[in-house]
Amino acid sequence: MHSPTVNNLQIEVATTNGDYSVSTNDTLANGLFKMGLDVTTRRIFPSNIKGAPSRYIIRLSDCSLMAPNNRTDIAVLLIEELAGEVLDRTVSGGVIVYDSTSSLGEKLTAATDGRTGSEEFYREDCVYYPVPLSQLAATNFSDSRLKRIMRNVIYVGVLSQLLGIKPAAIREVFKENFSDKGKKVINSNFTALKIGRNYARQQFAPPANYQLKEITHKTPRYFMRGNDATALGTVMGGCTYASWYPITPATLHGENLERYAPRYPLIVEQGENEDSCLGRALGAAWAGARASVSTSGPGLSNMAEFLGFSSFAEIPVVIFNIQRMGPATGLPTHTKQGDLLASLYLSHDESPRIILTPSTVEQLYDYSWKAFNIAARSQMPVVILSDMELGLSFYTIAELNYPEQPIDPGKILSEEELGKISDFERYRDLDGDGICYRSLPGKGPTYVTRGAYHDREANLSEKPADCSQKIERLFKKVQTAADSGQLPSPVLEEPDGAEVGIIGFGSSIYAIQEAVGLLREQDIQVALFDLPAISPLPTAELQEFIDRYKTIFVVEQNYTGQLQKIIQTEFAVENKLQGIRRYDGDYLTAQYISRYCRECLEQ
Amino acid sequence: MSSSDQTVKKSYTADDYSTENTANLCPGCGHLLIVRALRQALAELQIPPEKINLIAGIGCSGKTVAEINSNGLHTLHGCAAPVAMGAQLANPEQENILISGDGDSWAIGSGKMIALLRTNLDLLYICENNGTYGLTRGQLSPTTKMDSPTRCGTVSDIPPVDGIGIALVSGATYVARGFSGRQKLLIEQIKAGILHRGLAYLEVFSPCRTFNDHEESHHSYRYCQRHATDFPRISVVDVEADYPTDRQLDPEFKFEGKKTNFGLKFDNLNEIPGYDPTDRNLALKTWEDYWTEQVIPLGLLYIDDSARAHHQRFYGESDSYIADLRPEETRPSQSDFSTILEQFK
Ligand SMILES: Cc1ncc(C[n+]2csc(CCOP(=O)(O)OP(=O)(O)O)c2C)c(N)n1
Ligand code: SF4
Ligand SMILES: [Mg+2]
Repeated sequence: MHSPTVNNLQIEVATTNGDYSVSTNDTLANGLFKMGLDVTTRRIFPSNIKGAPSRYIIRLSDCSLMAPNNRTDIAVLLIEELAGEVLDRTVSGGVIVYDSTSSLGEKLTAATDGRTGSEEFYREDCVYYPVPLSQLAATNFSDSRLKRIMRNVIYVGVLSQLLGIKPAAIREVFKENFSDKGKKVINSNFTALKIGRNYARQQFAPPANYQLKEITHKTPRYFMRGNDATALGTVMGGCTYASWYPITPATLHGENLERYAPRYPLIVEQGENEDSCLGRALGAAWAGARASVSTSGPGLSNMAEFLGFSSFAEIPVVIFNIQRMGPATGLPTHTKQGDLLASLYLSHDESPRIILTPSTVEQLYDYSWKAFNIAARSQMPVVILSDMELGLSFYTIAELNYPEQPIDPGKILSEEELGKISDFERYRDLDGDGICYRSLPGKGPTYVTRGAYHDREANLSEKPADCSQKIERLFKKVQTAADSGQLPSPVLEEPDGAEVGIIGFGSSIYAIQEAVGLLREQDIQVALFDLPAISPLPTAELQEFIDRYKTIFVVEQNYTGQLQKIIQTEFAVENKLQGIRRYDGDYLTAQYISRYCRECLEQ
Repeated sequence: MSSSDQTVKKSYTADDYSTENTANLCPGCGHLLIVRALRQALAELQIPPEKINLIAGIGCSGKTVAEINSNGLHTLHGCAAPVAMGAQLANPEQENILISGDGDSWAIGSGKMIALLRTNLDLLYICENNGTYGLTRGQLSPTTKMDSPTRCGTVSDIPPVDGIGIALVSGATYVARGFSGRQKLLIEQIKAGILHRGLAYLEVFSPCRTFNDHEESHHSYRYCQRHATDFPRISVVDVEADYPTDRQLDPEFKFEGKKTNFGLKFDNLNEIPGYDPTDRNLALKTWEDYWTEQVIPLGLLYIDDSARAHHQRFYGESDSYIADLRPEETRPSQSDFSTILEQFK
């Protein structure tokens, strides 16, 4: 008899999109978090409002792993379409909870009874828990919508009883979520939870191989999604104007800001399209606001002309790009990291910008507030590249800190300062760092800010010398940013004896961290370089890292190896780089990465 | 670049709004006459140049931003509207004036135009309509009339966009039609548009001397002189005057402006019996009649001073704007931060 695994399992719910189960599953995950466990979630759902198959994963880890696992321990089966694939993923000894009062349920019951015809759904090595979910909901609740919602809460009750999830923790989440909806709603949820718990207690013995134990932490921990972190970072970065246009998976960032707006000096507007959003942000920034926009792939493409304008007219702005699977419409609800080169080169001709690539929720928050200082200081667009996986998944994170840097307005001269200067020129590089002093409209001298070439005094100019100086100075600002100390530094993990390195960014990092652990168990030591930016690249650190290891794996979620290309153009890398890529819209897992590494190294 | 010592000056003349730069427009271009009227209007209103934001689209029209002493922002083709929206919201204290062409507004910028017109953003929008693309040398514009050929002989076989009609139905609260060749009226229209609280759409017939001022053009000086009629002719009058209230009988009305009240004198309202420029349905109906008859009415068709300006949705009656915040005021405090974090625990 094995001892049970403690606080280490993956729950997977297979259901239909739009059946209200997402919020129930969020509640379950949050309840587990409130027990002090390390929890992360993933949604695998189609671009559809109601009716198509969808999955929800909750992973608990006893060592803070935050990537999804490719193995499931506890499956909740509510629809037939996904039953086969979920059962394939379920581990030996796994738990299968299903709605016995559904057509799938009848088949599963038949299969467990050993009747012929439904063998495909039978796993001898798993434990089946039939629960009449629909029937319990139907007999206890009257309204048809409520019946559907409460079916979900009932399975949460069942899981709570089977796995030892504290009902108090779940009840607390219900109370928080429905505080504005009143006692009746809260009580219905409480009742359904209890129905599930009671049923499971009366009918089943809990599985012997899984156990959950509450943990008390001394320091605060938070449960948030990437889009919660970027929105919080936006507010803490001192953003005063934000514009957005709904698009999956960036919408949540914008809606979060809408909720912050009434309480802080922040104006949030839904624009009429993405280039207008960026245009509005740039107008606001020109007039003196700290401005941002948020979008995903198609919206980014839409912003192309204004992105170049921002760079050329030297108006600061922060652009959040929550990447999704493209091109064109692509798959809006699937993750990818395909916009590196698009973010780097979007817009005609050459226009420098800064591009940050946060990897964890803590970094999403940190880089977001920093981005506003960097943009203001550099008078340049700063793109934050997040992705759908980071944006929409919940993660358990440690303390977030109040920004340690004060708000940096950049080189803006006040009216008093301008009063003392008789020879102000908007585009004179006084400090030799490429960044010129700004004045704000209404608070200084008059001149034209424009997207056309100009001289130091901001007058239109076609003189070759003015043109070359302008473009050289713009690019110099990227180097200035790199030297400024304002940019985030790379995060390195370099164990003794490592001969192999991995470079990655964005959501891949969680899977890479876990893969490094898996490889270590196989006596392969791997160093990790968590890349904070692709423009400017952390040149010195990256070169040293590349020099130090025999083989470097570049992990990224796109087909052509965009990051690898960027590195190869900048550095002498010989034949050291090997790409590990995923571009099928599915989440990257540690197993995917470690298997590839091992195979490559064995060759 | 002009230094900011203008702030100590007591009164401004039209010359104070000129610059040492030129937009390099063709001699006789209608847009240059708008520049002239604009400078004169600004001088009459005594608005310091540094208090003016001039936000321009791309075209010969937009290029004139170089010739007006103000905070200029020369944006992208068809994109001045959103930029002006952001600028105005960040700092509604500034007088925001937007300069655009007929192509800039009604072809490439048409979606953005509707979005702007809906908002009642407090600014003056000047659409310089010459029925052609001046800067790209005379192609069809969305306002080109059907039987009016371009430089290379192309004739449009689809009806033109009716900017005034769209402005009226989209929610502009000041809709006026001017003509570069009618300076006196134009100056009054610009002044009233600036004083107005809300979105003032002023479409100015502004002939392109080089590409669209020929015999067959519907946007030539001659065509406009021939087909124009003055209605409803306005002038801005003393703000302090005592205003009557019966719009049917009295030619002078008082309006609530963005900063002060102002009076408008309507010279010839009685030419259309019962015409009330604050009645939008009447304005629409009258405009439609003119449009079908191909008459160009020059005047102020519609004004509504009762609507809330867009920035008031965010600021209410407060005059503390985001552009005025000190850097540290833009970030929530440590205790606010802790409160926010509570919801994620
Ligand atoms: C995105 C984009 N497309 C095309 C152009 C080229 N372009 C410049 S001005 C213009 C048309 C200008 O016409 P209008 O707005 O009527 O202004 P006008 O020159 O007649 O005053 C065009 C097509 C451009 N600058 N940007
Ligand atoms: S081309 Fe036409 S619109 Fe342009 S400057 Fe010349 S006359 Fe004016
Ligand atoms: Mg034109």
